[in-house]
Amino acid sequence: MVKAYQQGFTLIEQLVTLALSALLMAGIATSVAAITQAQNLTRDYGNLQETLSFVNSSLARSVRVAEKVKSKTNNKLLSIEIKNPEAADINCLAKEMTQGYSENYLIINNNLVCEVELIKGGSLIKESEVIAFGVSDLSFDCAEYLKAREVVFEECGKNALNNIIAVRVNLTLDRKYFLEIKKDFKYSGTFYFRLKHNDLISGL
Amino acid sequence: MKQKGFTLLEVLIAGLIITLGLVAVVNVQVASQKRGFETHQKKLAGLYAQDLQVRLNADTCYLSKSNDNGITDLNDFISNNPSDKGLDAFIAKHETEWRNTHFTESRSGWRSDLIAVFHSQDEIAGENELDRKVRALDDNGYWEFELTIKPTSFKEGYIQQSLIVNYIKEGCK
Repeated sequence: MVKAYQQGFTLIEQLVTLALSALLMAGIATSVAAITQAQNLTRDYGNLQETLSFVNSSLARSVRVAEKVKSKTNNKLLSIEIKNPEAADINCLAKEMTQGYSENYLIINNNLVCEVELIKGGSLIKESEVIAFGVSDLSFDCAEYLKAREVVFEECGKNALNNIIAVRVNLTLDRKYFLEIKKDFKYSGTFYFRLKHNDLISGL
Repeated sequence: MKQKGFTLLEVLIAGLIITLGLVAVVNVQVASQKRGFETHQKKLAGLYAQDLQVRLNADTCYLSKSNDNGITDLNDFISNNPSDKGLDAFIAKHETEWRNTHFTESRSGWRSDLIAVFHSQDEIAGENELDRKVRALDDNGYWEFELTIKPTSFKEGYIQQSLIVNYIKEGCK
Protein backbone atom coordinates (compact mmCIF):
# COMPACT_ATOMS: atom_id res chain seq x y z
CA MET A 1 0.00 0.00 0.00
CA VAL A 2 1.35 3.33 -1.00
CA LYS A 3 1.21 5.90 1.69
CA ALA A 4 -0.71 8.93 0.58
CA TYR A 5 1.34 12.04 0.51
CA GLN A 6 -0.87 14.84 1.66
CA GLN A 7 -0.05 18.43 1.99
CA GLY A 8 -2.53 20.92 3.53
CA PHE A 9 -3.13 24.54 2.59
CA THR A 10 -0.93 27.06 4.23
CA LEU A 11 -2.43 29.69 6.49
CA ILE A 12 -1.79 32.37 3.88
CA GLU A 13 -3.61 30.38 1.20
CA GLN A 14 -6.56 29.87 3.52
CA LEU A 15 -6.74 33.56 4.37
CA VAL A 16 -6.52 34.64 0.74
CA THR A 17 -9.31 32.20 -0.21
CA LEU A 18 -11.43 33.45 2.66
CA ALA A 19 -10.90 37.07 1.66
CA LEU A 20 -11.71 36.41 -2.00
CA SER A 21 -14.84 34.41 -1.27
CA ALA A 22 -16.00 37.03 1.23
CA LEU A 23 -15.64 39.66 -1.48
CA LEU A 24 -17.61 37.53 -3.92
CA MET A 25 -20.33 36.84 -1.33
CA ALA A 26 -20.62 40.53 -0.54
CA GLY A 27 -21.10 41.25 -4.24
CA ILE A 28 -23.76 38.57 -4.60
CA ALA A 29 -25.59 39.72 -1.47
CA THR A 30 -25.65 43.32 -2.66
CA SER A 31 -27.00 42.40 -6.07
CA VAL A 32 -29.64 40.09 -4.59
CA ALA A 33 -30.77 42.91 -2.31
CA ALA A 34 -30.88 45.35 -5.23
CA ILE A 35 -32.81 42.89 -7.38
CA THR A 36 -35.34 42.29 -4.61
CA GLN A 37 -35.83 46.00 -4.15
CA ALA A 38 -36.26 46.50 -7.88
CA GLN A 39 -38.86 43.77 -7.99
CA ASN A 40 -40.75 45.28 -5.06
CA LEU A 41 -40.75 48.62 -6.82
CA THR A 42 -42.09 47.04 -10.01
CA ARG A 43 -44.80 45.31 -8.01
CA ASP A 44 -45.71 48.59 -6.30
CA TYR A 45 -45.98 50.33 -9.66
CA GLY A 46 -48.27 47.53 -10.76
CA ASN A 47 -50.47 47.92 -7.69
CA LEU A 48 -50.58 51.67 -8.13
CA GLN A 49 -51.61 51.37 -11.78
CA GLU A 50 -54.18 48.73 -10.98
CA THR A 51 -55.69 50.90 -8.25
CA LEU A 52 -55.83 53.95 -10.48
CA SER A 53 -57.33 52.19 -13.49
CA PHE A 54 -59.90 50.35 -11.44
CA VAL A 55 -61.07 53.45 -9.58
CA ASN A 56 -60.98 55.39 -12.82
CA SER A 57 -63.12 52.97 -14.79
CA SER A 58 -65.52 52.42 -11.88
CA LEU A 59 -66.17 56.12 -11.50
CA ALA A 60 -66.29 56.80 -15.23
CA ARG A 61 -68.94 54.13 -15.76
CA SER A 62 -71.15 55.35 -12.93
CA VAL A 63 -70.80 59.03 -13.70
CA ARG A 64 -71.55 58.52 -17.38
CA VAL A 65 -75.11 57.36 -16.72
CA ALA A 66 -75.68 59.41 -13.56
CA GLU A 67 -78.58 61.74 -13.07
CA LYS A 68 -77.29 63.78 -10.20
CA VAL A 69 -74.26 64.18 -8.01
CA LYS A 70 -74.00 65.30 -4.41
CA SER A 71 -71.00 66.04 -2.29
CA LYS A 72 -71.48 65.40 1.43
CA THR A 73 -69.64 65.44 4.74
CA ASN A 74 -67.34 68.35 3.95
CA ASN A 75 -66.62 67.28 0.39
CA LYS A 76 -65.31 63.89 1.57
CA LEU A 77 -68.15 61.78 0.18
CA LEU A 78 -69.39 61.73 -3.37
CA SER A 79 -72.90 60.50 -3.97
CA ILE A 80 -73.84 59.58 -7.51
CA GLU A 81 -77.51 59.09 -8.25
CA ILE A 82 -78.59 56.76 -11.02
CA LYS A 83 -82.34 56.97 -11.53
CA ASN A 84 -83.21 54.72 -14.40
CA PRO A 85 -80.57 52.08 -14.96
CA GLU A 86 -80.66 50.43 -18.34
CA ALA A 87 -81.05 46.67 -18.63
CA ALA A 88 -77.38 45.78 -18.25
CA ASP A 89 -76.25 48.40 -15.71
CA ILE A 90 -73.91 47.00 -13.14
CA ASN A 91 -73.13 48.90 -9.95
CA CYS A 92 -69.77 49.34 -8.23
CA LEU A 93 -70.34 46.11 -6.27
CA ALA A 94 -70.71 44.22 -9.55
CA LYS A 95 -74.44 43.63 -9.15
CA GLU A 96 -76.91 44.13 -11.94
CA MET A 97 -79.40 46.86 -11.13
CA THR A 98 -82.97 47.10 -12.28
CA GLN A 99 -84.12 50.04 -10.16
CA GLY A 100 -82.77 53.46 -9.27
CA TYR A 101 -79.92 53.59 -6.76
CA SER A 102 -77.10 55.78 -5.56
CA GLU A 103 -73.43 55.06 -5.15
CA ASN A 104 -71.44 56.74 -2.40
CA TYR A 105 -67.68 56.92 -2.65
CA LEU A 106 -65.91 57.60 0.62
CA ILE A 107 -62.81 56.77 2.65
CA ILE A 108 -62.99 54.39 5.60
CA ASN A 109 -59.72 53.46 7.36
CA ASN A 110 -57.54 54.40 4.39
CA ASN A 111 -59.63 52.36 1.99
CA LEU A 112 -61.83 53.67 -0.78
CA VAL A 113 -65.27 52.25 -0.15
CA CYS A 114 -68.25 52.16 -2.47
CA GLU A 115 -71.62 52.09 -0.77
CA VAL A 116 -74.79 51.30 -2.72
CA GLU A 117 -78.06 52.67 -1.41
CA LEU A 118 -81.45 51.71 -2.70
CA ILE A 119 -85.01 51.69 -1.49
CA LYS A 120 -86.62 48.29 -1.40
CA GLY A 121 -90.04 47.63 0.06
CA GLY A 122 -90.14 51.08 1.66
CA SER A 123 -86.87 50.73 3.57
CA LEU A 124 -83.37 51.92 2.77
CA ILE A 125 -80.88 49.17 2.05
CA LYS A 126 -77.13 49.86 2.22
CA GLU A 127 -74.39 47.60 0.97
CA SER A 128 -70.74 48.49 0.87
CA GLU A 129 -67.42 47.08 -0.18
CA VAL A 130 -63.83 48.24 -0.30
CA ILE A 131 -62.85 48.93 -3.91
CA ALA A 132 -59.29 50.19 -3.38
CA PHE A 133 -56.77 49.89 -0.56
CA GLY A 134 -54.41 52.59 0.59
CA VAL A 135 -56.37 55.67 -0.43
CA SER A 136 -55.82 58.25 2.29
CA ASP A 137 -57.62 61.25 0.92
CA LEU A 138 -60.50 62.02 -1.39
CA SER A 139 -61.97 65.33 -2.53
CA PHE A 140 -64.11 66.53 -5.41
CA ASP A 141 -64.39 69.47 -7.76
CA CYS A 142 -67.52 70.03 -9.78
CA ALA A 143 -68.12 71.93 -13.00
CA GLU A 144 -71.47 73.46 -13.77
CA TYR A 145 -72.95 73.53 -17.25
CA LEU A 146 -72.74 77.00 -18.75
CA LYS A 147 -74.17 77.67 -22.15
CA ALA A 148 -71.44 78.78 -24.58
CA ARG A 149 -69.07 79.60 -21.74
CA GLU A 150 -66.04 77.78 -20.47
CA VAL A 151 -66.78 75.56 -17.48
CA VAL A 152 -65.05 76.22 -14.17
CA PHE A 153 -64.15 73.52 -11.67
CA GLU A 154 -64.82 74.50 -8.08
CA GLU A 155 -64.97 72.57 -4.86
CA CYS A 156 -68.27 70.66 -4.94
CA GLY A 157 -70.89 72.32 -2.79
CA LYS A 158 -69.85 75.84 -3.70
CA ASN A 159 -71.88 75.63 -6.89
CA ALA A 160 -75.48 74.66 -7.40
CA LEU A 161 -75.48 70.91 -7.88
CA ASN A 162 -78.35 70.58 -10.35
CA ASN A 163 -76.48 71.27 -13.53
CA ILE A 164 -73.17 69.58 -12.84
CA ILE A 165 -71.77 68.13 -16.05
CA ALA A 166 -68.34 67.03 -14.91
CA VAL A 167 -66.75 66.03 -11.66
CA ARG A 168 -63.09 65.82 -10.81
CA VAL A 169 -62.01 63.29 -8.22
CA ASN A 170 -58.75 63.94 -6.37
CA LEU A 171 -57.16 60.90 -4.73
CA THR A 172 -54.13 60.52 -2.53
CA LEU A 173 -52.56 57.08 -2.45
CA ASP A 174 -50.83 56.46 0.86
CA ARG A 175 -47.13 55.66 0.64
CA LYS A 176 -47.44 53.21 3.55
CA TYR A 177 -49.42 50.84 1.33
CA PHE A 178 -47.08 51.18 -1.61
CA LEU A 179 -43.85 50.22 0.14
CA GLU A 180 -41.11 51.31 -2.21
CA ILE A 181 -42.79 54.51 -3.32
CA LYS A 182 -41.33 57.18 -1.11
CA LYS A 183 -44.06 59.78 -1.35
CA ASP A 184 -47.84 59.86 -1.32
CA PHE A 185 -49.08 59.65 -4.87
CA LYS A 186 -51.64 62.24 -5.87
CA TYR A 187 -53.94 61.59 -8.77
CA SER A 188 -56.88 63.42 -10.15
CA GLY A 189 -59.30 62.21 -12.79
CA THR A 190 -62.14 64.06 -14.46
CA PHE A 191 -65.43 62.34 -15.22
CA TYR A 192 -68.19 63.44 -17.44
CA PHE A 193 -71.97 63.15 -17.09
CA ARG A 194 -72.79 62.11 -20.60
CA LEU A 195 -76.47 61.44 -20.00
CA LYS A 196 -76.91 64.74 -18.22
CA HIS A 197 -74.95 66.60 -20.84
CA ASN A 198 -76.98 65.11 -23.68
CA ASP A 199 -80.14 66.32 -21.95
CA LEU A 200 -78.73 69.79 -21.48
CA ILE A 201 -77.43 70.03 -25.02
CA SER A 202 -80.70 69.02 -26.58
CA GLY A 203 -82.58 71.21 -24.12
CA LEU A 204 -84.82 68.58 -22.57
CA MET B 1 -1.77 10.26 -3.85
CA LYS B 2 -0.26 13.50 -4.86
CA GLN B 3 -2.41 16.62 -4.80
CA LYS B 4 -1.77 19.63 -6.90
CA GLY B 5 -3.62 22.92 -6.33
CA PHE B 6 -4.94 25.32 -8.95
CA THR B 7 -2.53 27.85 -10.31
CA LEU B 8 -3.19 31.52 -9.63
CA LEU B 9 -4.02 32.08 -13.30
CA GLU B 10 -6.71 29.37 -13.26
CA VAL B 11 -8.27 30.85 -10.15
CA LEU B 12 -8.26 34.34 -11.65
CA ILE B 13 -9.89 33.15 -14.87
CA ALA B 14 -12.56 31.26 -12.92
CA GLY B 15 -13.21 34.38 -10.84
CA LEU B 16 -13.50 36.48 -13.97
CA ILE B 17 -16.06 34.11 -15.50
CA ILE B 18 -18.15 34.06 -12.33
CA THR B 19 -18.03 37.85 -12.13
CA LEU B 20 -19.08 38.22 -15.77
CA GLY B 21 -22.05 35.95 -15.13
CA LEU B 22 -23.12 37.96 -12.12
CA VAL B 23 -22.76 41.24 -13.99
CA ALA B 24 -24.99 39.85 -16.74
CA VAL B 25 -27.67 38.86 -14.23
CA VAL B 26 -27.58 42.32 -12.67
CA ASN B 27 -27.74 43.94 -16.13
CA VAL B 28 -30.84 41.95 -17.01
CA GLN B 29 -32.45 43.15 -13.80
CA VAL B 30 -31.52 46.76 -14.47
CA ALA B 31 -32.94 46.55 -17.99
CA SER B 32 -36.13 44.96 -16.74
CA GLN B 33 -36.56 47.62 -14.07
CA LYS B 34 -36.04 50.33 -16.66
CA ARG B 35 -38.71 48.76 -18.85
CA GLY B 36 -41.00 48.48 -15.86
CA PHE B 37 -40.57 52.15 -15.11
CA GLU B 38 -41.18 53.06 -18.74
CA THR B 39 -44.36 51.00 -18.78
CA HIS B 40 -45.45 52.68 -15.56
CA GLN B 41 -44.96 56.12 -17.07
CA LYS B 42 -46.73 55.06 -20.26
CA LYS B 43 -49.71 53.84 -18.29
CA LEU B 44 -49.86 57.08 -16.29
CA ALA B 45 -49.61 59.07 -19.52
CA GLY B 46 -52.64 57.15 -20.81
CA LEU B 47 -54.66 58.02 -17.71
CA TYR B 48 -53.60 61.66 -17.97
CA ALA B 49 -54.58 61.77 -21.65
CA GLN B 50 -57.99 60.38 -20.74
CA ASP B 51 -58.35 63.08 -18.09
CA LEU B 52 -57.53 65.82 -20.58
CA GLN B 53 -60.06 64.42 -23.04
CA VAL B 54 -62.79 64.70 -20.40
CA ARG B 55 -61.66 68.20 -19.45
CA LEU B 56 -61.98 69.30 -23.07
CA ASN B 57 -65.25 67.44 -23.51
CA ALA B 58 -66.75 69.30 -20.53
CA ASP B 59 -66.38 72.43 -22.68
CA THR B 60 -68.33 70.94 -25.60
CA CYS B 61 -70.80 73.81 -25.53
CA TYR B 62 -68.04 76.41 -25.49
CA LEU B 63 -66.46 74.70 -28.48
CA SER B 64 -69.81 74.56 -30.31
CA LYS B 65 -70.13 78.29 -30.70
CA SER B 66 -72.27 78.45 -33.78
CA ASN B 67 -75.47 79.13 -31.87
CA ASP B 68 -74.60 82.62 -30.73
CA ASN B 69 -73.88 84.81 -33.73
CA GLY B 70 -73.94 82.34 -36.55
CA ILE B 71 -70.88 80.83 -38.12
CA THR B 72 -68.74 84.00 -37.92
CA ASP B 73 -68.29 83.45 -34.22
CA LEU B 74 -66.56 80.12 -34.85
CA ASN B 75 -64.38 81.71 -37.55
CA ASP B 76 -63.20 84.33 -35.07
CA PHE B 77 -62.53 81.60 -32.53
CA ILE B 78 -60.44 79.44 -34.84
CA SER B 79 -58.51 82.35 -36.35
CA ASN B 80 -57.80 83.74 -32.86
CA ASN B 81 -59.42 87.02 -33.83
CA PRO B 82 -58.87 89.54 -31.02
CA SER B 83 -62.63 89.93 -30.49
CA ASP B 84 -62.63 86.41 -29.12
CA LYS B 85 -60.25 84.83 -26.64
CA GLY B 86 -59.59 82.31 -29.34
CA LEU B 87 -58.68 78.68 -29.83
CA ASP B 88 -55.02 79.14 -28.92
CA ALA B 89 -55.93 80.69 -25.59
CA PHE B 90 -58.43 77.89 -24.95
CA ILE B 91 -55.83 75.20 -25.67
CA ALA B 92 -53.15 76.96 -23.63
CA LYS B 93 -55.48 77.33 -20.65
CA HIS B 94 -56.46 73.66 -20.67
CA GLU B 95 -52.96 72.39 -21.22
CA THR B 96 -51.54 74.53 -18.42
CA GLU B 97 -54.23 73.51 -15.94
CA TRP B 98 -53.81 69.88 -16.85
CA ARG B 99 -50.01 70.01 -16.64
CA ASN B 100 -50.14 71.71 -13.26
CA THR B 101 -52.35 68.93 -11.93
CA HIS B 102 -50.38 65.95 -13.19
CA PHE B 103 -46.80 66.91 -13.97
CA THR B 104 -45.70 67.34 -10.37
CA GLU B 105 -42.92 65.87 -8.25
CA SER B 106 -41.09 63.13 -10.17
CA ARG B 107 -43.14 63.96 -13.26
CA SER B 108 -42.21 67.64 -13.36
CA GLY B 109 -39.77 66.97 -16.21
CA TRP B 110 -42.45 65.59 -18.52
CA ARG B 111 -43.14 67.51 -21.67
CA SER B 112 -46.35 67.78 -23.62
CA ASP B 113 -47.90 69.47 -26.60
CA LEU B 114 -51.55 69.95 -27.50
CA ILE B 115 -52.77 71.10 -30.91
CA ALA B 116 -56.07 71.13 -32.76
CA VAL B 117 -56.09 69.30 -36.09
CA PHE B 118 -58.65 69.54 -38.85
CA HIS B 119 -59.12 66.64 -41.21
CA SER B 120 -61.58 67.50 -43.93
CA GLN B 121 -63.07 64.72 -45.99
CA ASP B 122 -62.17 66.17 -49.37
CA GLU B 123 -60.41 69.17 -50.83
CA ILE B 124 -62.33 71.96 -52.52
CA ALA B 125 -60.27 74.00 -54.96
CA GLY B 126 -59.81 77.63 -54.03
CA GLU B 127 -61.18 77.21 -50.50
CA ASN B 128 -59.27 79.20 -47.91
CA GLU B 129 -57.78 77.50 -44.90
CA LEU B 130 -60.23 78.89 -42.37
CA ASP B 131 -63.28 77.81 -44.38
CA ARG B 132 -61.74 74.38 -44.76
CA LYS B 133 -61.29 74.05 -41.00
CA VAL B 134 -64.87 75.11 -40.27
CA ARG B 135 -66.15 72.74 -42.93
CA ALA B 136 -64.09 69.90 -41.42
CA LEU B 137 -65.81 70.51 -38.07
CA ASP B 138 -69.28 70.60 -39.63
CA ASP B 139 -68.65 67.47 -41.69
CA ASN B 140 -67.01 65.42 -38.95
CA GLY B 141 -69.12 66.52 -36.02
CA TYR B 142 -66.14 66.49 -33.69
CA TRP B 143 -63.06 68.43 -32.73
CA GLU B 144 -59.81 66.58 -32.92
CA PHE B 145 -56.92 67.47 -30.66
CA GLU B 146 -53.56 65.83 -30.85
CA LEU B 147 -51.78 65.33 -27.56
CA THR B 148 -48.11 64.45 -27.38
CA ILE B 149 -46.55 63.42 -24.08
CA LYS B 150 -42.88 62.79 -23.50
CA PRO B 151 -42.20 61.26 -20.08
CA THR B 152 -38.71 61.57 -18.61
CA SER B 153 -37.92 57.86 -19.00
CA PHE B 154 -38.35 58.08 -22.78
CA LYS B 155 -34.96 58.83 -24.23
CA GLU B 156 -36.45 58.80 -27.69
CA GLY B 157 -40.00 58.54 -28.93
CA TYR B 158 -43.13 59.87 -27.28
CA ILE B 159 -46.75 59.01 -26.69
CA GLN B 160 -49.26 60.46 -29.07
CA GLN B 161 -52.98 60.40 -28.52
CA SER B 162 -55.88 61.85 -30.49
CA LEU B 163 -58.53 63.38 -28.28
CA ILE B 164 -61.97 63.56 -29.83
CA VAL B 165 -64.39 66.15 -28.47
CA ASN B 166 -68.03 66.48 -29.40
CA TYR B 167 -68.95 69.31 -31.73
CA ILE B 168 -72.59 70.27 -32.00
CA LYS B 169 -73.24 71.99 -35.25
CA GLU B 170 -76.47 73.61 -34.13
CA GLY B 171 -74.90 74.67 -30.85
CA CYS B 172 -76.14 73.90 -27.35
CA LYS B 173 -79.68 74.73 -26.36
